[in-house]
Amino acid sequence: MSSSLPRTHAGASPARGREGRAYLDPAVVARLSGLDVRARLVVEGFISGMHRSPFHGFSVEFAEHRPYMQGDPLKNLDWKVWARSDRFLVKQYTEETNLRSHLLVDLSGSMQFKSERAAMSKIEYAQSLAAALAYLMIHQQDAVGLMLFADEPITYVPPRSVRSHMDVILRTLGSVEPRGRTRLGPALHQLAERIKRRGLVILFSDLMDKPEEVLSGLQHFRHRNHEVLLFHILDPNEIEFPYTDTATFVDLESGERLTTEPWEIARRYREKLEAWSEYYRRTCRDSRIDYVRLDTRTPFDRALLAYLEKRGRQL
Amino acid sequence: MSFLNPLFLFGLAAAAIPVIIHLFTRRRPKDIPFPSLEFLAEVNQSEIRRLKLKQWLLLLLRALAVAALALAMSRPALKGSIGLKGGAATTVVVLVDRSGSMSATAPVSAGGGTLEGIARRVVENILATLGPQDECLLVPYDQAIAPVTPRPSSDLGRLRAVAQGLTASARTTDHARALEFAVTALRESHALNRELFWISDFQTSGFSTPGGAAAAPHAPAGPWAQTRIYAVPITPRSAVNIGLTDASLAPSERDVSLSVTSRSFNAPAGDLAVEALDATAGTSIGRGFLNAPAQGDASTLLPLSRLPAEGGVAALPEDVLPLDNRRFFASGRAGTLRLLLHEDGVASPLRLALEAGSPASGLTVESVDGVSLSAHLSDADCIVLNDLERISATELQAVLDFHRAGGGLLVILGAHADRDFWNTSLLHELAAGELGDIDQAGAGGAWRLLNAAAGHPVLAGFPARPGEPVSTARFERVRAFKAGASARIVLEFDRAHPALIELPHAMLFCAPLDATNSDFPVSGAFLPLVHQITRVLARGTAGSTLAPGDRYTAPASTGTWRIEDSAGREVVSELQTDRGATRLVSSPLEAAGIYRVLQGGTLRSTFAVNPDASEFNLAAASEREILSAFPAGRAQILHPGADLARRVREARYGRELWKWFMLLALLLFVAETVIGRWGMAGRVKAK
Repeated sequence: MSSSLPRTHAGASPARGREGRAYLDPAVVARLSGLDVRARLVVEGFISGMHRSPFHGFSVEFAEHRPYMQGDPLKNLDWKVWARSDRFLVKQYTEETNLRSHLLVDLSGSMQFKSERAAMSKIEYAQSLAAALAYLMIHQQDAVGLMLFADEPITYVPPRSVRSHMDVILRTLGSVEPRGRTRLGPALHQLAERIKRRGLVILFSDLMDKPEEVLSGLQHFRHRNHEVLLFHILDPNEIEFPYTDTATFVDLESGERLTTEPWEIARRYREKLEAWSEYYRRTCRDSRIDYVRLDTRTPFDRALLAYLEKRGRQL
Repeated sequence: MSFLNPLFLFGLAAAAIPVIIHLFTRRRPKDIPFPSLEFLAEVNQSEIRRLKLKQWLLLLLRALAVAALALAMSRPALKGSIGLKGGAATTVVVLVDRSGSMSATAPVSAGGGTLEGIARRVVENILATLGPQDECLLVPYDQAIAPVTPRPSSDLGRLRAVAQGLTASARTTDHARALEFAVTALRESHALNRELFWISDFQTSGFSTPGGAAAAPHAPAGPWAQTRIYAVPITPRSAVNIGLTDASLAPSERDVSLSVTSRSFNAPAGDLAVEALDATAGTSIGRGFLNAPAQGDASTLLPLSRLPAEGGVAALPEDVLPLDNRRFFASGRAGTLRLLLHEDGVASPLRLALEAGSPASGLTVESVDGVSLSAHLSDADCIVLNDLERISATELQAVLDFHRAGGGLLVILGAHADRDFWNTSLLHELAAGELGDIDQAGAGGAWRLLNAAAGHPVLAGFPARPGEPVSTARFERVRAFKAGASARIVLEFDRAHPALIELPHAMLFCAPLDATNSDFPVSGAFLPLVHQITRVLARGTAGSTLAPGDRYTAPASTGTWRIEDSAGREVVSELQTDRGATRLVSSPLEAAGIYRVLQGGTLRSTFAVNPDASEFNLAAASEREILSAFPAGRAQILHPGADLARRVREARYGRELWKWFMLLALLLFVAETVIGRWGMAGRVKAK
């Protein structure tokens, strides 16, 4: 436990913090090569921006003292030290985890879509985010597993919490390319059957499959008492559909072609997309699944915060 | 529907441009990779029908907008009857009344000015409606027609220039003659569209028959079925008018007076001030009043303070027609006709009659004998030989020379005339005929002087028709006469006894003019008849004044002659030789006023020109009467006004619709833009 979140936070200077915040921007992160670098910088950037983090104190294992600062809860004051040295010090604890997380990354063909307005493709965004989360989790002593899938599971890395596991996660994440068609439902069902121990399941996908099947798979996790966090990743062009001239759209998964007047159907398309997204959101809420819609321009801290909120509820 | 610019109809082909653009310039759509076509396919499926409908609608709107634009440029006009004929040439005949009555003042509501001014504007408006392919025959007319061009012309610039210079003359009106000319022009036209514009005040007197009787408007037979006829009536400020019909010098107890006669037309009865002026100096030489009735004539005698040297003018206060408010009269030596009377014995009744009222009568009489005759010939207008038995060879030669120089000659062949002498001398030279013996009427019987030539100027004012006696005088002894082929009998006693025989510039009276052979010298007809005979011989007319349009003619020896009008402008004249006689003949005289005749710079005579009284009656034919002059339904009344040109265009080409087509094109373009941009908000925003 030599590297803990509070330590990182305490050692961050304001300048470093501003620099670190920049790594929450996908446009900046996209310029970095290597998932490990991306993951580290994203997490450090995230942490440096957290002032007076509400997540301190999760652990029961004492880590160190720090001077009392106005506003600290008095319950954390170390009275014994005060009695001995007449100094007000606050006790800080190293987190201790028993959380097992599974990162499920969709590798279907549609995930490779990247518009000119986005800095990275959906899969790159998912990879970066998954890597950052894995980094964060392992540094919090959580066990992290990884499953890559398209129309069927491709790779499965069982969860572990050792630091060396991070390398495995990163290597696995970076070794595959999107392929095939999305068949989330069966893949999720298979994974739900495989994961025996209760934990946190985090899905990164554009959900380009039948919603009923996707939700059925997710509910399977819920049925096995897993907590589920769904990151719905979309490209800005998918959401806003800003195309103007007559165009032939080519399906990245099926190769199917469709020629149309985009600006004529844009409004209907956006309505339909929002309805589809809303359906996911509503159904997930009913199933107590956390649904977070992201586009590939969304800063990573939003996703990380969502994770931490989820983790906080877990513990 | 007709098209004024039919060439622009080719522009309709441009309506195909949007379709061509749509079909041949469609860009190959760009391939765009997309994560999933699931939503696109669903949306596209439902929108595709609307999209296609919209595209075709846009295409239709664009094509229609271009077509509407092309139609607007071709200037469509709505009129069912002429179809595409509207594009063909139109022959327009414009009759413009410019008679004296057109100088009457116009009502203020019509813009004031004179009727001629309104007529000018109407003509300009009509010319403005013509295109380069149209042709126009502009015919100003009064009692004569004066077409601007011999046949319809497309030279609109020239026609406009002439139209702007149109002025009213002082002449009378002859509508019938103008209509005859228009008919001829319209018949000769090969244009599909023919139009007649008749611009006039439609004065009733202009429709009178040659005999002067009132007549209803009537158009001669013509191509009226193929002609659009517009009557453009121009009405004066008022039809109430008083004009001077006569102003002539008259003998009176106090030296000389001016006899002035006026004629009223529906005017308020009452005294009317009249003033006489010296035409040259402009000074007043007499004043008086006319007791004018509401309708008809009134006369008065104005004592003159002096006799004007060359001529004078009687003037009334200004009214609706200024033309008839002034009446000119010639006076002085130059203003009178100079007669040489050669007779034997004591003063005859003829001499007394000729001298009566001189110089106010316009005649001065100088008695000459055989010796002095030749010396006075150069200054004479007419020679009167009264019942001479015979004349010497010298006298005969002088008389013949005078006659050949254009001088008038009146020979009374009475009881003393030597038949053989006259038959072999003067009558032979004049080819007049053969004088016979003197005949005696039967017991209790007598000859009457009968009219034998209707409308002859010598008989002006005499009501007798041909065959009727011009006088109640009875002739007991007359000369037999067998008229020559070139002779014309003006008065006669019976078939075998012509009374007054007319030859070129000469007249023969075949009866003694003394009280022993007839009571004619004491009859009322004697004095006016002999005065008129001498006036006709000297001037060609019996009146004391010439009328506008008349030509001045007088005996003239060779030399430099010049005729000037009141303003000193020269009137075109020439010396004409007619059957051996040389006379000075002017061009038609147009303006009223005093004219001067000069020989080598010396004033020889003056004469007055005054408008005819028939022009003073401003009563106009009604619109119904005007329309009834033409076949039913062919003519229409067109009132002058600012929109006259528009109405003519609409009648010719129909109602122009180009504005509506332009508006339609605009609306179609707007609709195309609105429909085309439907749903574009998202597109613009996304950009």
